[in-house]
Amino acid sequence: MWAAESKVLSMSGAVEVRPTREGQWTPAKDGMEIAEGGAIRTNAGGAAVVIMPNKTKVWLKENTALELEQRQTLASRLALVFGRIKLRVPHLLRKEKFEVRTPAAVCAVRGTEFTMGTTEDGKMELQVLFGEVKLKFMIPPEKGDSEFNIPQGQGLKLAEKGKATKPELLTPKAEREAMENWNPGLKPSERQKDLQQKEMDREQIKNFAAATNKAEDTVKSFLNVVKESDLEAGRTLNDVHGNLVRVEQRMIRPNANEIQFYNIVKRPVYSNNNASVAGGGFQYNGAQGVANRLDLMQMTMAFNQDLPQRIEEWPSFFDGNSVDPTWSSFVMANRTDANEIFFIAEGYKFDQARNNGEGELVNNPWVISGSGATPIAATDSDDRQVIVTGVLKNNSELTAAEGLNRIARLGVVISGADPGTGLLRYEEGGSFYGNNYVGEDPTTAVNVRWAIKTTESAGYSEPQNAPDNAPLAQFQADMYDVGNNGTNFLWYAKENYVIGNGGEIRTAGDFTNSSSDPFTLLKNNALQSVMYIKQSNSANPAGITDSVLAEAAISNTDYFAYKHATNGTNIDLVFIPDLMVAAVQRMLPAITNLKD
Amino acid sequence: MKKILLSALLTAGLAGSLFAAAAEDSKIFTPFFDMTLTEAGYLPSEGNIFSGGNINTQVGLLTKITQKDQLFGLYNFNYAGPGFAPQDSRQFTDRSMSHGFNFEYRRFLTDRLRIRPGVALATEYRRTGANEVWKNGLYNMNSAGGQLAADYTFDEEKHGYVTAQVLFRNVAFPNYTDLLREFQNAGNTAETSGGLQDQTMTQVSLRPVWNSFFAGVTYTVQNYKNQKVVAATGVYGDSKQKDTNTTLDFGFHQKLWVFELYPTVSYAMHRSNQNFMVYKFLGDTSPQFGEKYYDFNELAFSVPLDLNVTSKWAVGGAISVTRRNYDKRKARDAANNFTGSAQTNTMSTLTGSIRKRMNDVAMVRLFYSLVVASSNNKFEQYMPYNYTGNTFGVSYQLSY
Amino acid sequence: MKRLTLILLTLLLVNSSAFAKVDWESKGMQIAGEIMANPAAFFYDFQQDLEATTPLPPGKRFGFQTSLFPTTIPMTYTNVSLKARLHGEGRIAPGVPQLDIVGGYWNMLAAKMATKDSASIDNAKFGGYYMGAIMSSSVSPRVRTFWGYKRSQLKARLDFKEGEQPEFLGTTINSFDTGFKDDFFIAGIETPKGIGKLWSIQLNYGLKTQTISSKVSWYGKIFELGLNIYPEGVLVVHPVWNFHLNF
Repeated sequence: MWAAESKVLSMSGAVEVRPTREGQWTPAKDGMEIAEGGAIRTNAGGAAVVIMPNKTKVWLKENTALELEQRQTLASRLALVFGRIKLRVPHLLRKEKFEVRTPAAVCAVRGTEFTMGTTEDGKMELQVLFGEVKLKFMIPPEKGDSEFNIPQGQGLKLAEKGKATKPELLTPKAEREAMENWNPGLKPSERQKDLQQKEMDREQIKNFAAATNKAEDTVKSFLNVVKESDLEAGRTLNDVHGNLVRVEQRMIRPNANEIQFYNIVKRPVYSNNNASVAGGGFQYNGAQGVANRLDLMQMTMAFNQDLPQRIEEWPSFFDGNSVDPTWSSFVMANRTDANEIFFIAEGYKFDQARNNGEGELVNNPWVISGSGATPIAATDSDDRQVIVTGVLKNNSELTAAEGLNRIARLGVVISGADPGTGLLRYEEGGSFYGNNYVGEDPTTAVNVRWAIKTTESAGYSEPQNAPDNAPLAQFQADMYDVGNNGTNFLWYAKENYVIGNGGEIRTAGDFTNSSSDPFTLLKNNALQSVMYIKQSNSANPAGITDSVLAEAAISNTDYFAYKHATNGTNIDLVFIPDLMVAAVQRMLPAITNLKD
Repeated sequence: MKKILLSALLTAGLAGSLFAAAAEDSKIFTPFFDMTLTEAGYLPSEGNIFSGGNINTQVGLLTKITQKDQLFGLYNFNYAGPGFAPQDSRQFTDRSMSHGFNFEYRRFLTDRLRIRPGVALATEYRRTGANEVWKNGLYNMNSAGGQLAADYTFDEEKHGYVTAQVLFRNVAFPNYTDLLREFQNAGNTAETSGGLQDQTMTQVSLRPVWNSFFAGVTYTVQNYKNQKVVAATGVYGDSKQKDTNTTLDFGFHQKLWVFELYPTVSYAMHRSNQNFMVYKFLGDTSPQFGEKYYDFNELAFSVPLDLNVTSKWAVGGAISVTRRNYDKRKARDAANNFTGSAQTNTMSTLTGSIRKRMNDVAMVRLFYSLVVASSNNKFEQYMPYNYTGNTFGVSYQLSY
Repeated sequence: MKRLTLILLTLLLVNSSAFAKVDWESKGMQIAGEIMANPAAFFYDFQQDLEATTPLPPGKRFGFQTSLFPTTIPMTYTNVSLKARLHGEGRIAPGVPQLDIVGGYWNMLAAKMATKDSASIDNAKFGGYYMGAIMSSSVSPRVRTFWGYKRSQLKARLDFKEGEQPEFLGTTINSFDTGFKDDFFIAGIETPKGIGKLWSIQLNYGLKTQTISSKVSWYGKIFELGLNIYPEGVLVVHPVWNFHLNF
């Protein structure tokens, strides 16, 4: 309800009111009205609160005299003759003005809370709590400004009328005194009660925050983490055939001088509907709906020196020493059944003579020629890529898993007694291990061979000239000579896709034309590689001169039987770049050094 | 995730507008802000220098509905960067980021008795290096739960009260799986969809406080939903993993002239039925078996001391020692083989700091700390066990 | 305090024996690796240095800001930012916070200069913008909290000259378009240190990429000194020097 005049809201002690400009001073009472031109004053021990029609509240301390000089709808002016007052001016109407005058200055406010004190001769002080006060000195000082905009948190002290002064920050003490409860009738100890209560509340909430933090920390600390790897990453996504895939990658160190990186892939159900065949892909001959399909890719690299225990020390280690790798191996395998493993492996050994004496890792028949064999020179015609592939089964001497371990450590050697057949024997410490061939199964059939890449035949690669925004899918195959005898050939075929998390094939445009950063792109993509070993329709590599002829030479039948005499299988791997990013960062000094 | 953040935005916005109303004489709302920023350089005895930071932001609001009823809301954002950590907890470069919400309702049943039921939601991301994806972190954790606490004041003058609390959390690790176990042993079938470490956690605690002395007994039970116990053969059996932890702690806060001392000591006993298989490499056909791998007793004490030189400046020092004795876990030698003696980890930290109060709400601190960690476990390829480290950093705090 | 920090730092740096173990070359390579892994984030860190996300001081209605170090020099990010106050605190209704609109634009001069001499790049655009809204309200006369939202975008676009286009997995690329874009939530507290001097600390949190940064700022009448901490960034600590004019 809008009162037409200002009212005394409450009071205590000796308070007098002059209700109109020409009126008499009468003792004040609660609810008494003060018209324009009226005034109110408190004497010793008195205090009062006045509320104005525009909802401004004025608190008066003792020994204070305040005049309501002007109180129109759009303009109000109070005059503080002497004493201390606190004002809370709410938001005003658009053109409304509100001023408070002291003997020394005029303050204009809108939406402000502030305290002000003055003496009759013009010594004044002002503390602005919220909002802003525009202060103008009535007598401009000789030096310094005569107008100030004083925002909240600052105050101003004027020692003498006409003297220069500047605003300064409120001290905590002054702020407390201005913020405390100015309502009349309160004892001094009670005035700060609200503030103290607020501080206690804040203490409580601080304790509450600290206690909840502690509780959350204990929840986290109970996580049992046993780290058995340097780096690890994992992701669940869909592959290009629509199967749900879980990929995990880890980098570990089996021995002090070895690094092992592996990428293992699990699918609860594996189906491959051969949709890629129409586009130039390869035929999958295995079972559909295979449960708990497991594939793995394992890369092992050994160095000529022990690596420092902690990965943080590697950059300086590689930088300072001449560290060379001694051997390395890549093994890709279909491990769905631990007793029957289809795999493809490539081995590398360090040939010191290469690269002008600096040495480099090479992949040629020397790698599987046993310890003590002489390296093959770069000019030799036999310096071509070699793979070891086939199906391992449990036999009387070794389980399939143990056999794969030995192959991963390059513990196999070409069987000298059977030249040209591609047969291998296990080797340990310079002599043969066991009596069986590598890949010999209980029926004495041997299902593992080594093969060398042919030079004369062209490889198969599709697509040849992709338009700008073609899907990033590539099919390729190379012809390999089993045992390097020129009679038996197989095709090592690969389907490579760049896929998103939903299994869709990406296009180059997805990478080059997005406003996202490359890093965000990486985390939403993966690389899928499906590998096959196929029989060859042609025994004449020189006759295969282009990709079309190569395609015709690739048979649909798998070279190695798996699970059934006429079935084969593939290795279907999904790589996520997550670990690569982390590894590159950690080991960049190492990698740059190795490249050198 | 977006929903949580949107709620955070709304809460902060709502809290903010309430604060503005609160600024002028509100008895109902009390806001609370706390922002702490720490950035430090770490120099370990082996390895290169690295930097790590910590950001902790808390926004809270206390609402007084009536004299007897109060409502607390708290949002907490915490980022913990790389740094030195106790052994067997994390690598130096591990970092984590977490959001937490806590709501608590307080009611004064009688003058001395107060009950506080509450609800808590938290999510945490962890990753092991920069430029990894937070979303894909293997150890990302979501937890939801509540607690019921009761405070009984037995000595008003000396500020003495007892708090009894029952806490319940449902903790999920949505990304964590372990395909390796399926590769290592044909008898195991690994889950593809995560949640291997999902667990429910129940905690009962009793904490008396009197005249700035405090003590506590806490008993926690973790029941794993999916994780099974591994047998010596490497096959994960049928019985689910269950962990219990009993912690006793004690401390006090005393001010003597310009000195301020607040030491604490705690003793924890952790028991679990889980064993561990050590595979040295993928395809290892002869792994080592660690029986009762997670049982330990841990004693920790810390004595911080502050010297308030002036009202603005303070010099502080602290010493803290943590010692963990494993029950059955054997230490490993440098070749990753178990030795005959049980593993013991010790970590000591000595800190010196200079603190300046910029004003009544802001504070800046320069600190230096020396960490000495030692253990009889010499296999340090993946987790650091024996090292000394120097840390120097600066920390800013604004708290209202 | 600042002087003490500087003295201590100099002492530590001079005392080289304690730092004999610091392998700066390796550290440099590690930093290079981090930049390669996520170049957009590295450049975006410098954009965050020039983003003005503190509210206008009480009483000011309009502000203009340009960032000097490390953005204009040495990164050649020429930039300009504007702030405008829509309404002050408590002006519309009691309790309604102050609302400021902020925005800015920057462009990398070095990119333009480099393409002039380049044989393969036809056109390179490297720049960005940000815009947002900040609300602030006082919880006590000398403590103000602020929070808000900003949207940032960094655009990097390379157009290759005809015949000089590189290949990527078998397809030719005419242009390379990348960048960084995210929505940020800002929260901070501000307290005055003197007349016209403010000290604030704020946290920026990116909602999509979960980029976090924390800024400590000494905001004077004309110059602002800041210490920006990017915990997950490449150069973790950026000291910042900005120039502003508020009316």
